[in-house]
Amino acid sequence: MSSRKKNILKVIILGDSGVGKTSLMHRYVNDKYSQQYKATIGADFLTKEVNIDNDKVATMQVWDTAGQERFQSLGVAFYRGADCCVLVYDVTNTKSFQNIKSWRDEFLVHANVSTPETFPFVLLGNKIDADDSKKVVSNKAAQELAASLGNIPVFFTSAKTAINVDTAFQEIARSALQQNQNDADAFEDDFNDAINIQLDNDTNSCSC
Amino acid sequence: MGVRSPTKDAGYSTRETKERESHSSSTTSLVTSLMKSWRISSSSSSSSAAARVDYSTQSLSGNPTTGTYSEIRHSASASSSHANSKRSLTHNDNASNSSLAKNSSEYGAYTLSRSSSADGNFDAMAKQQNSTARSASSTSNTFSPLRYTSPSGGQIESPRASLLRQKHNKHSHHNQQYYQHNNSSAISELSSTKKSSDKYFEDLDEDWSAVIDNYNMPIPMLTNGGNAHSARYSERHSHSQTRDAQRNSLSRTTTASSIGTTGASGSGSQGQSTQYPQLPNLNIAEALGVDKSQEEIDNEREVQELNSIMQRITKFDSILQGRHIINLQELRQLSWNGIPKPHRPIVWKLLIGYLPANTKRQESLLKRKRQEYCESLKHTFSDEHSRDIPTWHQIEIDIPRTNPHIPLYQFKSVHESLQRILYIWAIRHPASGYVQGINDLVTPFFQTFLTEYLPQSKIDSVEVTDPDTYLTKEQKTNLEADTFWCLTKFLEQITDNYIHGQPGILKQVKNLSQLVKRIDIDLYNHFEKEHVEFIQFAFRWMNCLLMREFQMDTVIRMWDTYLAETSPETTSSFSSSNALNMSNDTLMSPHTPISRKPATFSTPMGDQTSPASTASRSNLSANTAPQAVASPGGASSSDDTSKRVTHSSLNEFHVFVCAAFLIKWSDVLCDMDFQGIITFLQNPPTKDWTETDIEMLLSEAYIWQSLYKDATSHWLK
Repeated sequence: MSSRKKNILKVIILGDSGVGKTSLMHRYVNDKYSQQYKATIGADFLTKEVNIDNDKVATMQVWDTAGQERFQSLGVAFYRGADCCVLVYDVTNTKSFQNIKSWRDEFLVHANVSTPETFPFVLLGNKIDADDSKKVVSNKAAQELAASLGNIPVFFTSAKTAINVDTAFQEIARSALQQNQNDADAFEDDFNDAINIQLDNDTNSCSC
Repeated sequence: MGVRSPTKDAGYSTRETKERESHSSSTTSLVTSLMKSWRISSSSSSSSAAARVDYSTQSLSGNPTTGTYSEIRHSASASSSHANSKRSLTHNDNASNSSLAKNSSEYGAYTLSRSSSADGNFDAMAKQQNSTARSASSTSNTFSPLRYTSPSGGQIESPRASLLRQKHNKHSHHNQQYYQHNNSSAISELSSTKKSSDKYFEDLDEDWSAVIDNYNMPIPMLTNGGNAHSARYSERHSHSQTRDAQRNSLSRTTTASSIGTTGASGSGSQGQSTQYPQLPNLNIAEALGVDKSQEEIDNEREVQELNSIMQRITKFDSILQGRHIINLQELRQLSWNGIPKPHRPIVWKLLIGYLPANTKRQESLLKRKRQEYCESLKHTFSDEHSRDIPTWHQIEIDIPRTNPHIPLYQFKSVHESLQRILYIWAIRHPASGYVQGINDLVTPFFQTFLTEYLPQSKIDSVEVTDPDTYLTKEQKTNLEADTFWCLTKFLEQITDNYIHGQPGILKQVKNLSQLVKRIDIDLYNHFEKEHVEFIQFAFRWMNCLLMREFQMDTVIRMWDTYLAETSPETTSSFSSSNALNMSNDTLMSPHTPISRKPATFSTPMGDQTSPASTASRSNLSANTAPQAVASPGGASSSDDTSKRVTHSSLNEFHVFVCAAFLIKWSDVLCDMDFQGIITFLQNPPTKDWTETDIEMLLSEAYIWQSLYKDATSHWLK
């Protein structure tokens, strides 16, 4: 029924401006890093064929969003239909870490997901290649946050040096696929419900 | 023009109109040649070119008794035939090789005109024409949006034809008759037309003053414009009658002279004139060029191009230096087609309304504005001012990401300048604040104004030279000040794009989708089928005015036109800021838009931001055009049109540019799925675009705007 959707995993990357969302996406999809990315306006889009657990093949559509708060009103257009949401902060920027929770809430408000409690999020602490002296967010704090957000997976990555990027996205793909299948099942339920409602309506109209 | 509304209605039912293909192809050619008349700057007077002008004038001519047609044809042929034929000679090979000219065998004339466009930009128009041609029932009095009055259809003037003529008149600087015969009257007409939209930027003025108020900055009153409204209103009424008279006489002049041209070029066209209008076809073009070697043709073309550049420079010189008061209207018309590099800085400052048209006041104004910027700097970077950390940080991380591929923007001094300009702008405009993308918009100004400080021979190296190597400290501050004020003026025109929720952009994206739905329904349906939403790709187009889609040099060329499209009204706020000195100037320069009102400190944003208020404003302007009713003949519709044309805002024109840009790729996109479409539009193949490509795009946008202007009020809310 949703055969078309089954092959496509939609992933949204969120986080403050300048934490490295675009770099992460390009590192993962093209295995490249550049200092020359422009600030993302609206959202950028890349796709990659993924092989999950050497078993299932799918196309991952990655939406890399703009970090500036002003663009958040756009969320609806890009969040809808997402299978997994990646929250990124910069380990050298406390504010970006503090904002993670609000990015998550923002997403849940706009994405209109069916089961907010179980929707898959993945937390990434980026720029771990930076000097230790510059790092201001401890791994422990990140793990605590991840636990408080419903035990979501957390990875410490560097788009610049490619540390953990593939591993993280493997997990993202797995979560997205899981969510995708859950959604498909849910859709079937909805479909049955709809028929019931239809019948109810018929009864009502007869009674008029 | 009693038949106007029925024909207008019929014009929308294009798909029910059956038409001979040859007819539609020749009308397409006509539109193309019209487009080129905007695009090609000036005609050279070389004798061989002149011969060709005669020829294509002749072959372009339709039935001289059809007033509308010959007028259009006249203006098109007079201004573009030289370019047309020139290009047809040189680009024939390209055309036949071009996959875009795939219908060449079917459409002889069409292909010819297509050959001169470097690309298949007309695909959508052609598509529409073809579907028109293919579809069923024939009605002799119906109109395709792209078809002109058929000679057999009698004297009915298509509303679109008049629109086209209007638009053309507005922008073509080739209408020599227009200025020779109606010099003074044309000017007063234009200025009175302009005045009708005075109200439009009232709120922005208020915004400006409120910003000053908020920050207690030592800025003199820039707001004006309310008081004289009623006076101007009645003035406009008194103008209206004479204007109509003028317009009629103008029309007659143009028509008469166009017939004269036709007659002079020989009676050969008479045979054709009973048929559908024809354009010169490939064979004729070849016949003209047959005696010339390719080398000769190339040389000739080079000479012509040089001549035309020289002529343009001369024209700009004469506008800028000839008079005490610069004729901004003329300058706008000329600038629409591109500004020579040496003139660009000063012309941009004039177009945006930073420099006053009165040359005697320019120096003092510059001094004052630069002084103000200096004081702003001092104030902002003093201890008294507590820095807005998030804004500062956002700008700080965006500056290194601004034009990262251009060396100029890697220099530390440039980073510092841009940081100052953007930060001061942001804190003085709290309603919008700094929004990503504004860092892009500041750079064309910065880069263009930098060239002022370079010797002419080095203008082209502006992108690779560290400004610190040639700027004194004072010059750098002046440069920053000029950039700051021009950015401010520019963003005033598109404030809605950057305030909370970005309603201006959302509206533009919606308008774009509605426009594409009407221009290219196949593409629109394909997007729907693939679940592509316009906001997914067009948001950036609006937020950065397509700057991310093009290389910097083409962006700057594009801005010549965009700045020429900015509302003339904003030019008033500076020029009238010195209220006491103004009365003399006002009397002396009736063509300078002056708006005046006491300083307003009322709350600025609420009204201005709501789309509804914009709508009501345009309604108002439509309602305050009673002279359209009273005026005889075609003048009414054209008057009406010209006013709305004057009202067109930068945002609105930009939507048409985006539509032209999108439709350009229509064929490719229709073969793609969701992923393909989004990926393609994220990174369209424009790296090798030249100024010519941009000019073609702008001209197309112009055509679409002309064609759909009337209709937009119905569906663009």
